[in-house]
Amino acid sequence: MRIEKCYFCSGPVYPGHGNMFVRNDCKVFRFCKSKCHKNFKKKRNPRKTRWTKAFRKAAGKELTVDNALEFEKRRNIPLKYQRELWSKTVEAMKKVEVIKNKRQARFIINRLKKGKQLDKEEAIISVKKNIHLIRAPHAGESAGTTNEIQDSQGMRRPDPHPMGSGFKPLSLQFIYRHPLARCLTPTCLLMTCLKKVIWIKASFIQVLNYNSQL
Amino acid sequence: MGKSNSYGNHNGDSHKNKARKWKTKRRTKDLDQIHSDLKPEVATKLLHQEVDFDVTGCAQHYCITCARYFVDMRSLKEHFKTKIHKKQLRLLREEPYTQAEAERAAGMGSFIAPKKIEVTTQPIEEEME
Repeated sequence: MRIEKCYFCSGPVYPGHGNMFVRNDCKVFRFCKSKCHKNFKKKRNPRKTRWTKAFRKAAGKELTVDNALEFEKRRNIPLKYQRELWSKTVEAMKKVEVIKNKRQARFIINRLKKGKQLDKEEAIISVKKNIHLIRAPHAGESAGTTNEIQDSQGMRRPDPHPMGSGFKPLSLQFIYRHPLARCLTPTCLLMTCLKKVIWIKASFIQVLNYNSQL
Repeated sequence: MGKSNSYGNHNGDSHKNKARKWKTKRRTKDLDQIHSDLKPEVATKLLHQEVDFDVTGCAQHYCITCARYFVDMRSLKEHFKTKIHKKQLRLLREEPYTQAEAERAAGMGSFIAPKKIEVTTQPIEEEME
């Protein structure tokens, strides 16, 4: 009695479960479920099928080379039953499993770190590019504004919009052409920009409303 | 991935008989079987088969990589130029998938990335004689 591994998805095939296909050259293929069997019949490549373990390993999504993975193996060496060895092995299996899970989890976290960093860089770049939507280009040139808004980096800076001296209303065409303008609706006082919430003063929205009526 | 190999999906009856196409009795050679066919001693046997009147072209014009018989030399040569044949060559350039690899992917040993294998179309010259 042995828990075999599925040919297609590498999942466990328990006794009495799954499907077995014997090709006319006597080669045996075991499948854990009909999904795997069907995909095999369609001659799909497990390395290219995204949901299989073979894909995840080949594409570098999961931990591939590690000493913790070397314990479970098909050894093909007959062993005489020894009670002590048996009980020790069962103990060791539990420990190895814990270590293996930890290492695999750590590998995935490290892999995802890169994306988070890239996301952050991209967000900062596009906030820098589109800051003129929230803050008029010539704001703060003349003194006298006391109102403040909070920008994406959490910094408080002078707000030019509530009809301050540096305030310049944006033209309708300009606003509508801009990709971020879609986020602005009359009822919405929050603009969700790049997963970061930027507060916009009510006056700015009023300007937009006024422009859309024209 | 799971896309159809054919050029178009709207012409012909191919899309009607998918389930029948995948029946075991119609099963064509797998990539690993073709890899074992490509070994020189097997390949020479396959290229010089005895005349068999039940097989297309009396089993005289065989493409090893696609595991297909052709009627004559001309159609075999034409076949070498087709997309289907070239795609098959591309698929064969990767080491065949095995049960051992499935087990390594399941965590039984470290995973080894598949190797590249040099596969070319069979030579035509010797058959020209």
